[in-house]
Amino acid sequence: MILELKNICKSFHQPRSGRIEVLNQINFSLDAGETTAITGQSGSGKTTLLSLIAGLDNPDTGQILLQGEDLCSMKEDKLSRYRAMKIGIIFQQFHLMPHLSARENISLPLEILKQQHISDRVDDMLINIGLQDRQHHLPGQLSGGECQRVAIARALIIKPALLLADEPTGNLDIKTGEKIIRLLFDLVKKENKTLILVTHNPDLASQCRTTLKLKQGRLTEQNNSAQRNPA
Amino acid sequence: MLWIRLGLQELIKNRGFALFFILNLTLGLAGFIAIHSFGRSLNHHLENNLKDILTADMVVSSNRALEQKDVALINKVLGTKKRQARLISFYTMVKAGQNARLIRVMAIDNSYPLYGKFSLEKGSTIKSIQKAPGLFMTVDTAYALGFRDKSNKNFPITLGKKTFNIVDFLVDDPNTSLTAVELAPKLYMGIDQLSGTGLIQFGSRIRYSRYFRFEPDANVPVLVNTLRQEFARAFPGQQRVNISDSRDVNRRLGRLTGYFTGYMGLVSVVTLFLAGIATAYLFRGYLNLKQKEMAVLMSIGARHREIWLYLSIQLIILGLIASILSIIVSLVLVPAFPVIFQGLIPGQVNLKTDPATIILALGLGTIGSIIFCLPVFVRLFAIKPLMLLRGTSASVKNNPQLFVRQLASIIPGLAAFLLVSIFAAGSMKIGIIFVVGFAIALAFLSLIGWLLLSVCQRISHTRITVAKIAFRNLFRNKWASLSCFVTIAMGAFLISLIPQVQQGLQNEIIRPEGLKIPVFFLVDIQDEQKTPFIEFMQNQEGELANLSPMIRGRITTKNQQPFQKEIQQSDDRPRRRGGHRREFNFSYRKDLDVSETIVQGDPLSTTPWDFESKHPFEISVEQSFAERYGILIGDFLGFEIQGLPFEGQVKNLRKIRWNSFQPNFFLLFQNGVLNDAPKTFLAAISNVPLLKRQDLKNRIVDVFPNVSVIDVTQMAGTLLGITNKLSLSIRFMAWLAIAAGLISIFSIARHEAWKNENQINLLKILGSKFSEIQAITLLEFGFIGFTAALFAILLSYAFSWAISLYFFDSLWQINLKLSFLILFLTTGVCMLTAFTASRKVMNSKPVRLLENAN
Repeated sequence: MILELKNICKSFHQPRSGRIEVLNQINFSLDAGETTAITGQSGSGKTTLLSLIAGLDNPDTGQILLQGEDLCSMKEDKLSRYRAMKIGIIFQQFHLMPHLSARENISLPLEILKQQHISDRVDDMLINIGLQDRQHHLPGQLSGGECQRVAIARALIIKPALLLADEPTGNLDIKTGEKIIRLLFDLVKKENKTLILVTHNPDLASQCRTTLKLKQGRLTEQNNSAQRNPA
Repeated sequence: MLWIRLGLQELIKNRGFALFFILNLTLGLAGFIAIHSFGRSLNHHLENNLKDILTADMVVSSNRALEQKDVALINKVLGTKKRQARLISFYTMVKAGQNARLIRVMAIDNSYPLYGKFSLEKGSTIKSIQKAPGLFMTVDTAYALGFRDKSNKNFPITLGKKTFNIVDFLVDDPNTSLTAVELAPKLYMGIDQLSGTGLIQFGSRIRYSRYFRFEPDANVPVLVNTLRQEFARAFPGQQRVNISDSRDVNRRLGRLTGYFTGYMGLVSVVTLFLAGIATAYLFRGYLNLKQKEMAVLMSIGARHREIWLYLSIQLIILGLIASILSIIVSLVLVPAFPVIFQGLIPGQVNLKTDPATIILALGLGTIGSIIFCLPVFVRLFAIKPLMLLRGTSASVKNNPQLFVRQLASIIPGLAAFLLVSIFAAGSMKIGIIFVVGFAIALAFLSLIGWLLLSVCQRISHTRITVAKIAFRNLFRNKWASLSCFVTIAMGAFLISLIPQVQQGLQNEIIRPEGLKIPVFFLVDIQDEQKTPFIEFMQNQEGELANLSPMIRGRITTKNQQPFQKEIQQSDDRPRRRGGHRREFNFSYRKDLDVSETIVQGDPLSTTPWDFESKHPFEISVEQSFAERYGILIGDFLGFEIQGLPFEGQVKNLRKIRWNSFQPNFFLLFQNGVLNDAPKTFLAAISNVPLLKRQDLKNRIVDVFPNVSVIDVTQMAGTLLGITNKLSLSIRFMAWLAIAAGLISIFSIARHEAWKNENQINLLKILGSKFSEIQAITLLEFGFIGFTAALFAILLSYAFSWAISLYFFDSLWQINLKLSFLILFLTTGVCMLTAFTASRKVMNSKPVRLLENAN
């Protein structure tokens, strides 16, 4: 088991409406290499759940165990490095560093973590995402699809144990979105990564091995279907 | 290396921010560094030349010839291992041909000077002016006396009843290395040649000085203290001599140079602080824009301290560039100071930017930038990668711990500001007052801003769309609007404050309206010359006025306590006009002069005081003199005049406009007290036609050779020249502050306008006309700029009034012209910048809105 969530609760205080419970007693676990989609309506708590799994926020109660280590009990400084080494995050809005080229954006996590053989690993990754000829372009000079490919490469370059994707095709047209998803699933399979994908899109969710549906703060449905990898 | 590389790349990408940051900081630092270099160079020069300036290790002087018992005591204390020289100095009228003018005569013996030397064109010796009536003077002095032809060896110069010739011209005068600010030019004569001139009479202001030079291992301060104590013990209650050494010269020079460097130093701190505000504001905006990138870096593993490092490196690079540029700018500014201060500082000062100044500049530019931006840095703690998922921005408002940290982060900046202010003002008290005043201004303007923004909420309930949107924008973005308002207001406040104070200083020097300025001021008219002089003046063109008796004496007691104690205590009080005195001039007059006003108490009785009366006589005391010695109405003062004891009671306090050039005195006695005491007279002559002035001066010197005629118009010209030079320097610094302030305001307005880019694009998409969008922008920035400047100017009036009253004891007057200029410039700069920035946004395609959203 690579990830385990135990009795996770999370609520927020709203000035007018008081305390709102977003997540209530969430429990689930994932094995290595699994792909899982989290779906639900807007405001159902998808992003909150993702942020808790990513260690970007703390739950009110409960435990989040990543490879046996409890993220909730880690101090911010340790968590920051742990997250950088174990979790790759792909955002809907790419969030690339605008003044760095595609190549530099990909190599940045390795440089922060002071890893070896950076250049070779980046070359390999550029081949994997098919952007060798665009590697020196700045994000402003790349298309949305290319930017997301760079973002995927940046998330995967550290060889994370867990890959989190927040609406990775939300900012792309259907055709580009499909290409990106194919690339993402290919790479996940090739690298045997565990993927959690937050999406509104039922088609996209159906491509994951498991779909978790959030409704009123609870995982109301746990659907184990056969994996339909687009690749 | 990664963070340095990333920081550099970031700066290159954000060239606009970097440029404005550097420009602001460079301007702020340049003034400060230039003033600091100037002050250090001047102090360095003076420290190295103290003995040469004094021309001895110790000087003992008195306004009467030293008696045998004085000399015996001096020799007893100082021992035999010393060299000594004698100097008798006084002011007198000197006549040469058709020219007569006031000259300072320096009658020296053969040993003078003990340090330094006369540098004479023909290499003449001092002996040459001892054995025959000869003079040394500079070519300029000779020129002032009418001397034109250097080959003419026979140029008679009359001093009293004796005629002298110029023996040689001074190239370097050991006594002029101090300053050229003197009442009259100097000439040197042999002390033996004084006899026969008839210039030394009763009441003449003559200084008898003995100069001493000791062995190199002598402890001069100990000798000075011992001699002072011995004189105090041998002659209790008397101030027979004045003993000084190089420390006194240092203090005197410190006051002289402190006047320029202190005031200008504070102005330079203002400039620096303005630059600090602007750079912190720019950095705040920059950080807001970069929040997302910080969050991205954190999401891929960067820790808070690495983000700190990443930003600090950027600040250090910018600060370093600004420091280097400011040093270069100060290298240009510093050589301008001798031109600005010509005649006020020694001509041969080697002005340079020394290593200490360069280190200070680098320190202020780099560490100073970080300290100033510390409150902005604290916001980093509020940045979390979670923002990337939620699409929110960092805020310290909802985080009490961060809010406290942000408040605490202001402390190092304030402490640095306090230290720099104390350093620049040269006084802890002034530095603290300056910073406290600043904090009060900040609090006041914040409160006003808050209230104004609340008013905006009410104004926004209008049917006029443009006003509705503009005012709603202002109060809905309350924190951003408030910080913009306070920053612009603080800038405008500082810009306005300096010229207001300057106006007060100028008013102090410029003659007040309604006063009749005399042409000549006469000194040393003997008692027996009074009537002949009045008769003489009746046949001349000109009006003799204010013929005032002057009697010298000492104040012995105040309320039956020794007055000596008051004199010693006054050493610790702030120095005011009149300085530290042992003997005072007293006078009496029937009516007060127009330059005098009673500020407290009643006029003196006009009934002559009866010597047989058991009641003390009435005294009028000048206000600043009373403050200096703690004299109050009703106090009893004991006097010793010509050896006789007197007692009087203070009836009133007077304020005197000293720049009226009328004979005025610290103490006026009731009529009848001093009428029969030996006295001399002071007088003023006015209404002399320009062409007749020299003629009248010559005639006075012919008939009354001992009377000194001070050409007031010439003096006023000299004073005006000095004032103009000071004003020039003050204005120079004030404009530097204004330039820095306007650039700050421009930077802030530009940043705010760009922040509105999304709103402008949205309004365009929603179908607003260009003119409407522009009107909204102009109204927003016009309102902020105008109200900020208006309240800042009003506040500056209150502050300048307090400063004028406390520091300069001067008149206060509103400089309306400049206030309007600042009001319109600030509003204009805000509106113009916003207009320019919004035009650029307006001409771009609204697709930017979509790009920005991504």
